Amino acid sequence: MRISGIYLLVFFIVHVIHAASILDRMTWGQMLFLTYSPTGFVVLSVMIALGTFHAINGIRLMFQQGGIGIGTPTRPDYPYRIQSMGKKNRLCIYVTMGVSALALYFALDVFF
Amino acid sequence: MRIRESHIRKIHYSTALGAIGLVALHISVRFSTGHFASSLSYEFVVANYQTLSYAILLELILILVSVHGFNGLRGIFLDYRSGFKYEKMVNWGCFIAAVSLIAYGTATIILANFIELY
Repeated sequence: MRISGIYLLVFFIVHVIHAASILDRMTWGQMLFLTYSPTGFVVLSVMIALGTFHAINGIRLMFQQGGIGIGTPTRPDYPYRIQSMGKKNRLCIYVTMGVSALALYFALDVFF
Repeated sequence: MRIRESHIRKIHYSTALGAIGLVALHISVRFSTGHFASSLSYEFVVANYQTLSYAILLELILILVSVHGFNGLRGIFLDYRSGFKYEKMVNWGCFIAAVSLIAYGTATIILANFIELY
């Protein structure tokens, strides 16, 4: 969550600065060369994949912090299991990763 | 002015939910023109800025994502170290950074409306 969050924030800051080049046609054209490069497409695709992961996982965490889906408290007996990370939560994380991978595939398909 | 941490959490969640919908709309507009390259042509982007509804959309995204992003960054920094001076520095640093980015983006949106397309 933190890695994706920092990536998205850095991308957003660069995107806002990049968007300011619209005020000059020449600068906008030069900036588009960066966007249309393979590196630019990879950066955009990773942004879409990480953005999807960050959004869906963020919604899961919102429910968790609201007390939904974390199970009921029980006495900690050996072998210790993390109550808040049950099968459903693990499944949610795997599904989120799957959806993010699909988003990455879709983005790469559009850009390349 | 002090805001309770629980209120900041609610702001964090509401900005996240707002940003998800609006950013999805923004990205879908980029892909809806048929070809990604044509959606980034100078005329198309300037026309986007000069459409009131789209300019409002961009401004809302700018505010929501800046507040959410820099509040998240503040949370990460505060998790690593503590101390009154450090916390104050991080809080003010993130606040100033968010306000600066919003001001910079807003200036772009306003100035783009003065561009004359021929």
